[in-house]
Amino acid sequence: MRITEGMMAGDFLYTINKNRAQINKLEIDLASGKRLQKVSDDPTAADAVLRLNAGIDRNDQYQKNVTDGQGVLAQTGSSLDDMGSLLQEVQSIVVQAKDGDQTSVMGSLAERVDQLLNEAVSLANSKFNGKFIFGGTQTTAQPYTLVTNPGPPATQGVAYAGNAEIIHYPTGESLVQQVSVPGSEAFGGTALFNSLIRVRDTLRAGQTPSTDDANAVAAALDTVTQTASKAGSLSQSLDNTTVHLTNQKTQLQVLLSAEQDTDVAEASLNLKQAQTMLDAALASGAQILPKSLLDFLK
Amino acid sequence: MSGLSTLLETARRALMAQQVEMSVTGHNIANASTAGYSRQRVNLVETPALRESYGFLGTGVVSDQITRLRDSFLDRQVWNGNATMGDATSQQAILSQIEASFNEPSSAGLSSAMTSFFNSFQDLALHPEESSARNSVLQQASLLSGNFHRLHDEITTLRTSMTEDVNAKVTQINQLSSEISDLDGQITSARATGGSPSDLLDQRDQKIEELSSIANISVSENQQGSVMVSIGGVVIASRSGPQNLRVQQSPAGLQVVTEKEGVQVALAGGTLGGDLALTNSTIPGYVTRLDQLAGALINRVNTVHRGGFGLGTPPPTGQDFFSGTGAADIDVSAALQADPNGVAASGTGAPGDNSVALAIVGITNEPLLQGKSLTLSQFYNGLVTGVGTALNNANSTSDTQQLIHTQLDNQRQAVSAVSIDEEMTNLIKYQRAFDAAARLVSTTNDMFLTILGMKTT
Repeated sequence: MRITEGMMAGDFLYTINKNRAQINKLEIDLASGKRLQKVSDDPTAADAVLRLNAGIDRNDQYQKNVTDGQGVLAQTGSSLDDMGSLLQEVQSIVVQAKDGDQTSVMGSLAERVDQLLNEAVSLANSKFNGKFIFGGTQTTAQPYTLVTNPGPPATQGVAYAGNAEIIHYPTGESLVQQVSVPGSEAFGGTALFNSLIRVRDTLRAGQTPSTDDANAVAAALDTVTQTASKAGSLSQSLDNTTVHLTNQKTQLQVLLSAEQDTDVAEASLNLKQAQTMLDAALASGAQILPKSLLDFLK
Repeated sequence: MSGLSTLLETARRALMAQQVEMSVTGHNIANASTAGYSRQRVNLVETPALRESYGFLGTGVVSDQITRLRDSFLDRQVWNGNATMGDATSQQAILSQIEASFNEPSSAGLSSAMTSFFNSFQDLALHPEESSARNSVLQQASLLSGNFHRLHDEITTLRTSMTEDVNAKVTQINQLSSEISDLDGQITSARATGGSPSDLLDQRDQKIEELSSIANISVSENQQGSVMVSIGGVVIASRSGPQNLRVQQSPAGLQVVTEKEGVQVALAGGTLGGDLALTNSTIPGYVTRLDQLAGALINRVNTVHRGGFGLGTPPPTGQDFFSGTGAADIDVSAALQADPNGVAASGTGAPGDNSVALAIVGITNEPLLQGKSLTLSQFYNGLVTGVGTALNNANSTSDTQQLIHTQLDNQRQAVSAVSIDEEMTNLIKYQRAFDAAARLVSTTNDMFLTILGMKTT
């Protein structure tokens, strides 16, 4: 094959260009830490990166949702625990009223029950983050209010403004978890308060609360205890979700890194190699290209 | 009967021939770096010998013809490769701009805007009774809409700007085809008088080569050495002159047609062919898919949203979330912009209910597109990776063609290019031959003088 100056120059430039392009890409990869700058660098990996990035963003959101849900449930649990102790006190008052038979004591016991009733209503109106937690999905209106039913005879009662709806938070792909217990479930609607009102009114009338009344309080306590344990288990399952989400995020990040991050060791090695090749090409080009027969003719 | 005069004539012929050789060598050296130049050679032939009693006596040399050294088979291969290369080049240029517009993977792309939009509905699901959560939903929705607009605008603007590019390329084709026809006329008339006009041939080949990167040309040459250049069956340059082309808008997009009859030219390669394919099918395809994506998002979110309730007494319901029908005009509906509390989270009207917010979050996982087989993000990822794959293919086609071109060009240069070393060597050779011929003249002259100086006594 005839080799001409033009061919040598052309081949030289082609090789140098290729070499420089490779060095350029490797340097960007190393500087940015990512081997995937554009979709066209590796469309398959880019598809995975888009998916994984969205997955990580959603995972962050789910973790946030879970944290919020745990807050609601913690507040629910503590309100219910307080409600439980309150009912236990009412139970002991009922027992006390049965044991003693002085009407004067009855009066003061009735006052204590009245206080407890007010406390129970305010517990049932507990808020978390500005929202009523026992109103079902009616979170902005106070769920429980003491009302007087116009008689005669005028009787006191409690009105429930909430509903029986349950609130769910999204905590995973196509997964929602319950984060609320409505008052209709926790307090049997108004049953708990009515039982307290009956005990109080009986005591006020100087009478011993009946077995039915005592049973009603016991039943309310039972419901509250059960609901508290339900709130506990809901919170527990959110904890499990957190663990799951944290693991999932780690996995997603590992996968993402595998798809898009530069293998620094490999890239550095390749860069070194490419630089050596460029040096060699430039050095040999500088020596050979300027030579021609003219150098030797006088 | 040979004599000294014959000898002098032989020397004269040699001097002439060596001068021609030197001239051609000079021409070669002068054009060593001229694009498309083929080195030339003089064919020297012996002049007819004289019949003498003792045999045939040579009478010297004459330069017969100057020819160029060129392999037209390699030319054709280069021209074919150029069409593929041109197509890939044009795709690289345009697709890389589209890829940059998509700006993926990054936190500023549509993918991330879409995730943030749906995440804002998750936030709303946590606080369905709050206005602030609604404001952030609307903010994310307008960011998402803005992203759709930007993409749509950038891609359609790119397409519009390509129209100018196509026009410029057609003008260039017309220019080249008229130059080719011109040169062709000169070549055929030069040929008619006998001889091969190397420089004109080089120029014509060079023009054809320029043309070959713009369009998929085919070239045929007749016995008189006249070429006929055609694109997709339409002759654009021939002995009878150039045929001008023009661009016209049609329902199918831009078309290249002949100026007079309006016959459509089937372009299937070259930068022009690449441009036409991009502007007529590839880019509209991307825009359509972007519109489908926006349309599906608008429809589905609106359907779910209409069934929900916002905040207020009575809670507003039955409202659309988005207005518009595609990527160009998607926006938060005017009613919601005026009153963010219209954003529905509740399915019952109770302010703490988040079932509609949850249902909207759930849209992320609903297969809505491509015959209800792909979710919004799957469809979008498919669109983005489609652009990336097309660009990736164009890049590797371009790389391959570049390599092939380099190899073919090397082969061509091996035949046609000027080697300075070789020309210098030839120069020395011709100079020596010239010196020798000159010596022959002076020797013959001496011989004449010898004879003329003889005295008869």
